[in-house]
Amino acid sequence: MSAYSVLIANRGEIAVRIVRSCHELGFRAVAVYSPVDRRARHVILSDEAYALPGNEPAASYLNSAALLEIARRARVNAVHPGYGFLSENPAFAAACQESGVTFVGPPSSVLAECGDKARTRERLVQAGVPVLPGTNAVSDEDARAAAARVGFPLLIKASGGGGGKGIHLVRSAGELPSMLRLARGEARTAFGDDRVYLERWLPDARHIEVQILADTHGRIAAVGERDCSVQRRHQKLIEETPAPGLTPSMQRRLLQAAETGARKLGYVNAGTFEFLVQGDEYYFLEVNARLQVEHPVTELVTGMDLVVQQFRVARREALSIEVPISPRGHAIECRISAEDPHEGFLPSTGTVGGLAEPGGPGIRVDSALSPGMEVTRYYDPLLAKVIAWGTTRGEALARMRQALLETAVGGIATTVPFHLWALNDPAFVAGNHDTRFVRGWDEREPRGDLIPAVLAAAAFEQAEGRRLRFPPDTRNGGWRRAAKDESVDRF
Amino acid sequence: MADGAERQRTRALTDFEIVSGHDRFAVQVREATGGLEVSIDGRVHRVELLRWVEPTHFALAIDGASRPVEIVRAGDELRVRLGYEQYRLQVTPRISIPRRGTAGRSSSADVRIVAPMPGLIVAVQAGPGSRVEQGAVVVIMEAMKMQMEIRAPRSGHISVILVKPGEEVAKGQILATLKTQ
Repeated sequence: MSAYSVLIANRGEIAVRIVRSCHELGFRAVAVYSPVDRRARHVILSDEAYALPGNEPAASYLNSAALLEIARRARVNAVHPGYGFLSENPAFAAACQESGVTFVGPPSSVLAECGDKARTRERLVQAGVPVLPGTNAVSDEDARAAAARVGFPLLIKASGGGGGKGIHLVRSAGELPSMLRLARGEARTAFGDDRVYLERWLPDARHIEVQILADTHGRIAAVGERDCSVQRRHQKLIEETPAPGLTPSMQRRLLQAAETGARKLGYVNAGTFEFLVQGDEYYFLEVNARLQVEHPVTELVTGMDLVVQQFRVARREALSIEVPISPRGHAIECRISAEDPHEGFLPSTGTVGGLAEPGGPGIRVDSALSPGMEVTRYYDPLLAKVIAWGTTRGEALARMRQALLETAVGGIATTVPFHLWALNDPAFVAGNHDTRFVRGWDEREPRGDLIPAVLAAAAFEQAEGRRLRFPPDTRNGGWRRAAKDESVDRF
Repeated sequence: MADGAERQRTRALTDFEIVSGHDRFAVQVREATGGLEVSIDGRVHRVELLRWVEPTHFALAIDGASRPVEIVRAGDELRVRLGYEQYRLQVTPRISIPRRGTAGRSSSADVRIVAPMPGLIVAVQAGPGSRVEQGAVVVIMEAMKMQMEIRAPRSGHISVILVKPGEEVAKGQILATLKTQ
C-alpha cells in the first residue's frame, strides 16, 4: 500500500514547513513550483514535484485548475494550502472535495462564511462577541456616505482577503478615493476579488489573536493567544506569546470569545480569531481560516505541532492535545522579509549570494532561503522566520538579539535592521508597545558615531580599488577567522 | 623602533575623502601585516574587513573589536549598515579627479521620475505634454502584491512617458520626465 500523500499548494517557507510535518508522519510530500521556483527549497525537499505554467500568482499558486489536475495526476489523498494563495478559497476547497481529495482546512461552507467578513462579524455579534463599527462590501459611489457612518480613522479591507493585503488606512474623507483604488488593485491581484469593506480603526490598540483548533467530533480548543501589535501597513513584523502585559482575566475573555465564535461558525481545523484590545475593552476583527504565518510561537510554548494537528483533523481523527493546555516559557518570531527598512520598507529583489542562518539554544528557523535563489517581484516578500524560545520573555528576547546578529542574507536588503532596533527599544523590551510602535523606527534619532562606518567604507574601497581578492579560506569562515585573529593579536 | 621592520613593509596606498551629510573626513589607508592602518584626521586605527556572506556582509574588526557589517554600493555612495543603523557615505580618492555631477547633471528644469522599486507597471495616469500638479499620480506600480503610486515631485508638464502598463521595470529606471517652468 502506498503512503498517504499530500499536495502542498504553496511555496516558500510554509511549503518547507509542511514538507517537514508530512515526512514526520510518513506521508509523501508532493510539491508544485512556478518557473522561478524550479530549484526552491520546498521543491528540493519534496518527494515529487510538478511544474506550474507561469510565474504570476494567477498562473501558478492561485491556478486552481492546474493544481487540481496535478492532484489527480499525482494521486494525492490531500491538499494542504498553507497560508495565502488558495488557503481560504471556498471554491477551491469544494473542488478538492468533489474530486475526492481532502482539503486540509475548514470545510468550504465555513471558508465562505469567514471570507464574508461582514457576515462573520454579524454572526459573532449574535454570539455576544463585541465588534467595531463597519460596513458590508461597498461600491466606490457608496463609499463616501458609508465612511461617514463608520467614522475616521477607518480601514479599507479586502472582503475576500487576509494577511494584511489590500488594507489601507484612511484618516479623512479626502484620502478615500485614492486609497480605495489602491486597496481594490491589491485585492484583485492577491485574491482575485476586488470587493472591499470599511471598518473603524483604533490607532493605539493592541492586536491580539487566539489560535483555535477544532476537530470533526465537536471538540474545540483555544490553544493560546499571540500578540501581533508590531505591524507596518498592517503587515505583521514581530509576534509573540504570551501577550506581554495581558491580564489573566482579559486573556480568559479572549480565549472564551474565540471558542464561542468558533462554535457559532461551526469551525473545523486550525484557525485564528483576531481581536483589538484597548484598555478593558476588546473587539473581534476577523477569522483567519487557515494556518497563520506566526503559528510557530504557539508551537514552541505548547510543544504542539499545529500542522500535524491539521492533518489529524483533516483525516477525521480526534485532536491529540492535553487539556488544560499549559504553555511553557515565552516565544517570539521575527519575520525576515525582502524589504529595506532603510528605504521605507520597499521590496528588494535580486539574487541571494551567501547565507548565514542562526542557531543555538531555543532558536528555530523556518526558511525558504538558499544561496543563489532569486527573489522576484511575483510573490510575498517573506523569506524566513526566526523564532526564539526562552523560559522568560527576557531570555527569549536575548536569544533573538543574538540570532539576528547571526543572520545575513547576502545581496538582498531585509528587515533584520528593523528587528535589531525593535528588540533594543525600551518600550518594546518593557512590553508597553501598541500598533503604532513601528512609527518609532521612522522617527528615531540617527546615532552619532560615524567613525566605524567611515573605517568600514575606507577598508571596503581599499579592497575594491586594488581589486584584492579575499583569500578563499575566509570566504565562508570569515566571522570565525576574525575572532581567532583577534585573540592571536592579543598574545 | 621595535616595529621598524613592519613599518618598512607598510606603504601609503590611498588618501580618501569620505563625506556623510555635513561631516567630512580625511582618511589615509596603509596596508600593514594582518590588516590596514587607517588614519582618520590623524588618529590611527587598525582595521580588518573580512568577507562573511557574499557579496554584502563582512566582519569588521576595529582595533581588535569585531562586529558584523553590511556594505552595499548604490550609485556613487556606499551604504554601510552597522547594527540597525545605516550610514550613507561618499568616498572619493583625494588625488583630485574631477567630481562627477555638476557637468553631467541635467538642467534643473528637467525632473526625472524614477521607479523606487523593481516591479510591474500597472497603470500610467498621465500622457506626454499633460500638465501635472505636484503630488499628482503619474504611474502606478506593483511588486510583491503591493501597489504604489508614483507621484510627480513637482508641478510641470510631462515631457516623455517611457513605460507602459504591463512592462517590468528595474529599481531606479526612469519612468517619465517632467518639465518644470
